[in-house]
Amino acid sequence: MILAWLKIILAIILLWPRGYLLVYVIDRLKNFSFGFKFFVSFVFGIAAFGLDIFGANVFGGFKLAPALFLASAVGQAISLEILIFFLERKFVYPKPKKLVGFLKKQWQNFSLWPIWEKLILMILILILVVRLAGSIWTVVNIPTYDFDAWNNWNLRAKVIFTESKIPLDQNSPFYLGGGIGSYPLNDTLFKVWLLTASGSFQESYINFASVIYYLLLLGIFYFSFSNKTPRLLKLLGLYLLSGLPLLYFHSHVAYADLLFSIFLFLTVANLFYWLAGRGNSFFYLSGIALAFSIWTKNEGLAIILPLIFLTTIVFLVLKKCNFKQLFFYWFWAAVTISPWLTFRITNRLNILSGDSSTFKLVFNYQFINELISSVFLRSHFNLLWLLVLIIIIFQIKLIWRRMSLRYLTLTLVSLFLIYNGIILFTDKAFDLSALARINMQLAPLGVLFLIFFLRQFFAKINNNK
Amino acid sequence: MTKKSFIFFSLLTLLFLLPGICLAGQEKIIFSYDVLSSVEYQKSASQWQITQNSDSGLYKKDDGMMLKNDGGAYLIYPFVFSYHDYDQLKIIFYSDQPATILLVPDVTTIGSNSFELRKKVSAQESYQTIDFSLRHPFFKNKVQDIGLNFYTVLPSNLVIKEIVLVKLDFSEVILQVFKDYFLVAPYSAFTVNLFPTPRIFGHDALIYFLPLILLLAWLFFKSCRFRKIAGIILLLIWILIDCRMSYEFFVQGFDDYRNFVTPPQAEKKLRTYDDFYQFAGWLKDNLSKEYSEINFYGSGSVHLPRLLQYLAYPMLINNEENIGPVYVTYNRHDIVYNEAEKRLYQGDKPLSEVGELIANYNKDSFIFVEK
Repeated sequence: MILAWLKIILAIILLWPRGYLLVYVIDRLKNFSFGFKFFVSFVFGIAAFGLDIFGANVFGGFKLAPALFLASAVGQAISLEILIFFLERKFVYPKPKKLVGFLKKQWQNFSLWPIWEKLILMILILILVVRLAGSIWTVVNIPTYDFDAWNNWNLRAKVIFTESKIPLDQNSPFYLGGGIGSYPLNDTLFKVWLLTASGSFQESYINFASVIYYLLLLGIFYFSFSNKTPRLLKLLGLYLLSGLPLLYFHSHVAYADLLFSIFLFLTVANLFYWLAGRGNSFFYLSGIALAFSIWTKNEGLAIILPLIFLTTIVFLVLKKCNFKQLFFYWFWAAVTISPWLTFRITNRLNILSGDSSTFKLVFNYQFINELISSVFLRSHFNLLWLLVLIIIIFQIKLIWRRMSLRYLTLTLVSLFLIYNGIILFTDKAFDLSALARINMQLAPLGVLFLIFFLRQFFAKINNNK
Repeated sequence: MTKKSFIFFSLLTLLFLLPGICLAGQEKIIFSYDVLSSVEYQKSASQWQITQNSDSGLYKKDDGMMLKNDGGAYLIYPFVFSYHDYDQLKIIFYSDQPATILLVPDVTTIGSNSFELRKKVSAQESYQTIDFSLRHPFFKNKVQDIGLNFYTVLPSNLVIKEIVLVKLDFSEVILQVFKDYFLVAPYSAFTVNLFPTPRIFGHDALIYFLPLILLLAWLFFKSCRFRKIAGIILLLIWILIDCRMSYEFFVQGFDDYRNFVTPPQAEKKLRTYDDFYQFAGWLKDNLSKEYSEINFYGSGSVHLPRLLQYLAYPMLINNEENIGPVYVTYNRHDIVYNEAEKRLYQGDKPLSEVGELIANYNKDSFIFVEK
């Protein structure tokens, strides 16, 4: 048992170099902090690895065997190394001395913190440890219980792992692993990799993926802040995000919403950081994250893609970016997602989860109360959306002063209206089962908005003093 | 605060509390041996009825009345009231089997139900008291009757001493607020999408604090003097909600620990799927690998065939079909093995060809294979 868990941890670590090198190539201007690169590398590694083996199996006919997995994890890293060599005339490899130096620097910085900030950090770490322990206990002890987890996400992982291939017979109930055929396979193929590494099917192994997603989301969120953001605000943001009830709940539920929320966060937040002047690397990273969001959930293709397309066109019109930048943004995004999009188009998969051909506009007035209750009043998101709404209504003048915060607000509001508009105004709402979850996908952006608004608000107060 | 304004606010508070204070402590016993044997009750048109039970009688036992429960008996009482009249319904009773008690307003017409009106009790030999808060939207308008459902897995004997309607005083109502807020809804198949709690008096708890939150937000943005304190209070409210929801996860985890993690294999039960996970494990252990598909006949949840498909893969699950020789039933009382004909019957109709029972999970759950 312990050996299997060690193999799983090793399997996760093995995807990191591939992700790191990809992030390294994107960050040619060295805009990213190490912490940010460290955490983003995991999610990029997971997604890129999944796309590779998907392409290899579906288009190349390769069996999903350990050899293919290892070849993908290592082979892609080697090709990225070659690319880096051509670009920078050097190879990137782990430098333990640098890592020790980095850790020493972190410790030195930490020792300079005021005692009460240290105390807050300790309490926060304790809270996070308790939360993680709760999630780990659940995934280890409780089998897959929630509907979509066994009807889609985990079923697909089990089928693909058992068959050692992605079933491609459209008439089979196990087409692409079973469940709803149009669901992308990012989460599934990561789970197949974990199962392959462990050597057997165990529910706890694949359900552990959700804990990993939660941890990565928190890491990416915290390290996405620059050093200019006051430390207390960063810690506050981390606390607020970690404890959002529905989001935390999904850290031990085998759904893909948490993984999707990471890519959505990276797509939108990186454009925000780019507008805030933190460098072009954030711009290009956003494009790749967008591609991976399409590879994770259908919302990426149906909602995020059109919205970001319009956003980048507006950036071009406003001369925030030039045509070359815009071209590279979309070109690399398209190249990244091409295996999945090609497959999805040639096999005519539905755009949404159900049958897209019967999409109708209706007014589900009976859902209004439930929507308000679920988003604002029922503690799914603590006070988050209530505070965001209050701030947007009463502090719009302050928000409007800065382009970056204006963009974040408009994107957040647009996504919120589109997401909830689908529930309220289409026949795809079904039984409201997606209502709180889709708003959960936006939650990391909501917390980001809250923290940057507070930063701007306090800056204004200090200026007035 | 001046003396005048102090008197004004005191009078205003008193006026607000007066109805509660005057009516506090009012009780109406609607069920007891004395009530049921009184002449007034005997002559009354409003009498307790027992439904969904083979025995519709109540028998005197100790100082209460015994109900011989088949497992799902309803006690129904036609009585018109709302939560303006009574805040709480109290039952003093004991059951010789673990039971789930459900209070159903308007049971003969709408039959509303909610997790707040459901209580689980353990088997006991002495009286225990459970209470249901009637401060719930179901009781806002006058209900015409109430039903009490006593659900037990096995037949049971229930001895009820008293059923009482109570008007609470102000402090007890406030206590009810806290009890409601920390009441955790049981984990259901829909919890992954929507949490039903926390609620107060059957409404989303946060709705009561909205004015306070708006005031605090206004002070935070607009008042230099109160900004700090308003910010701190907002953060404290956030932390309170965080604690409440963490408590919810802990309670759900503890339920899983008690019902699924620690019990022996045969007694493990998971949330709304009861022992289905154990059944699926038993099926995999007892069915030969040579069979690649089964005809599954289950009972309890519409999700069971799909869930079994996940749990039993690569075995193919045909839901209530007649494909191939293997039939698997789960808690199906209507499907029986006819020993004489050596085939399965569903009611009066034969379901299968001749075959044999391979293994029994329980009386109504088994594997049958056609020859």
